[in-house]
Amino acid sequence: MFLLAFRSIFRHKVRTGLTLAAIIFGVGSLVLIGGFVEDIFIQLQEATVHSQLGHIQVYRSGYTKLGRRNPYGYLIDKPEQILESAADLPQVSDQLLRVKFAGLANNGRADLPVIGEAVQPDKEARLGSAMTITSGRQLTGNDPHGILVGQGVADALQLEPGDYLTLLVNTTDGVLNSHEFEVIGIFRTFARDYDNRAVRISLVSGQDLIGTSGVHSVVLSLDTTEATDSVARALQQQLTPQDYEVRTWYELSDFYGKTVNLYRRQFTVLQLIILLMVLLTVANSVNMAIYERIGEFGTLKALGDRQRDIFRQVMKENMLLGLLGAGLGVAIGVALAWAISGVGIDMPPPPNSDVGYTAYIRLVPGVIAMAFGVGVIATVCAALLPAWRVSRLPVAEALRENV
Amino acid sequence: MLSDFLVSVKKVSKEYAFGKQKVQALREVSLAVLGGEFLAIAGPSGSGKSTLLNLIGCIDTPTTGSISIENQETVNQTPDQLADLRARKIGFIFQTFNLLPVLSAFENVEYPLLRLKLDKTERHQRVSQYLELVGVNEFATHRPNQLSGGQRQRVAIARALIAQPSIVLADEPTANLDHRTGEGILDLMSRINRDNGTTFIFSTHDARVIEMAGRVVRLSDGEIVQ
Repeated sequence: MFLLAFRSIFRHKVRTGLTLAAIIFGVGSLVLIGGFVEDIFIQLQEATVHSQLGHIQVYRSGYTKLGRRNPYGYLIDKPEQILESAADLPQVSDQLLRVKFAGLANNGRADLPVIGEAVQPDKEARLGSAMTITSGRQLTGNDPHGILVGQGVADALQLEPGDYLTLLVNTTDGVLNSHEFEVIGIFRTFARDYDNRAVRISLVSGQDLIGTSGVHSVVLSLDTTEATDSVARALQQQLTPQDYEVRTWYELSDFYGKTVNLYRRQFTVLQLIILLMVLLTVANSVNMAIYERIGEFGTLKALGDRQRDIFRQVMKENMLLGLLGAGLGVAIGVALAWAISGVGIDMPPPPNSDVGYTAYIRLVPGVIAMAFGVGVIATVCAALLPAWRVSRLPVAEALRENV
Repeated sequence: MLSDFLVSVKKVSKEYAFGKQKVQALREVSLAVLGGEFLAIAGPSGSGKSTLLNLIGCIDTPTTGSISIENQETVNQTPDQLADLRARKIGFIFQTFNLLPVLSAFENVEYPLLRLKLDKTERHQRVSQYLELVGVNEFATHRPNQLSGGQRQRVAIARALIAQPSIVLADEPTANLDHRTGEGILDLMSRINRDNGTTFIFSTHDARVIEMAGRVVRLSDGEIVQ
């Protein structure tokens, strides 16, 4: 009888209000914290994609395992097949060619080991929305002798835009080769380790520097990050696995995977704590309410209610309380999320980064549903034991509580 | 063997344990009640009146002895079987009225009908009929805290009768009412007993109430003395 359940939960308005407040606080907190954590994931994901990796990279088969030992042994001589296959796929917005090299950077006074990328500057500029130029300007297709250096490289070699830098590398034939470049700009990404070692030059210059016409990777930029898996699958079907390997951004980013795992575990613990907090608060309130109503339950049993009717009655009341509290918690959580996201939260630089960022509270349906579920489940679970106890109380004993 | 008795209590004893101490509330009580009786169980406080009513009403179980309602043995039945028996055959009127505070008079009377398969129209007609019978139809929408003691007990009587039980048990139904109101309640119960043939068994220690009973069973120290 929902009427009885509904009216019963508002019998003691203050106590019900306090119980609801606990549920609302728990559910609202989960919406906010969950939305905040999701924002961290999404921002980290986009920073990873748009500062270094793109969404998908295609290599010569074996490159990710053995390429570090012998990088020039895994050059793709004719990337046209990959470019043609990828061009037919929906969601692919851009295709970029890259050559990687390792060498020494010299400013005339000191050397620094660097990891270089030869890239298509205009395309990279479109992809690299998470790469910040802190000084100078972006590399363009008109800068065959220009170089972008990471902030750490610039600091170590005391470089400024307009300075000259010599790169000394091994060619594919094993011969030492060097080119002089003009520092066009200094960049910073979310990853300090990368900025401490990275330099970027144009693809033509890079190929000329190491003496090849091939590339190490074809990088795909997609319209949305969510399309990564479907495009990767489609590409894998089109390319022969003996020749090429297809890697998604999250497979390539160890940092992202570990960070997400760490935060998810922390968030799970937090969920359990909040579930426990709501459960204990509601259990206390339910126990008090049931103790005061033992006589009433005795009356209901005298009128013919079975044990399970009493159990269901208590559970119905708490189900309603849980639904109401969780609903209000979600509503308040969503409203607060909008308000907070309207302003944004200034965050300090995360580990391994020099760049702070503005965090938001993401409204993710899965997180909201989970918060709602925690609120309802905790409230319902809190009533299980008291409901079971009172339903089994002998009728005469329960009726004596009326006196 | 089937008997003509509506209620048959045979050598029933009830013992309560309070810690290590045991209290004998009833000692080998035997009683038979015919259908349509207006029976008072009289006796001073602590004589075992309420205990006997509880046992007849299947809300407590005897330590020894047997009780049957309409030839149906109640001892050794499961709690659910006893709940069904109460729902179908027994109506209760309590000293403290025991109305559900969050429901209106109408809803309180309607409650026992909810488990029966009656359609809403029939249910509402029957509730109105019984509220009319006990004279509180005009207070149908009132909550118990908006009713006087006498009105509450009338609502409780309507609730006890609504499922048309064969027996109504009333534990000191007038104890919390002033003399005049209590007399009115007894008159009402007596009228329903006469007009509808409903069996009433009520406990009391009030001499004026005892005078109105069709038959009186007196209890003292857990034994029937008369």
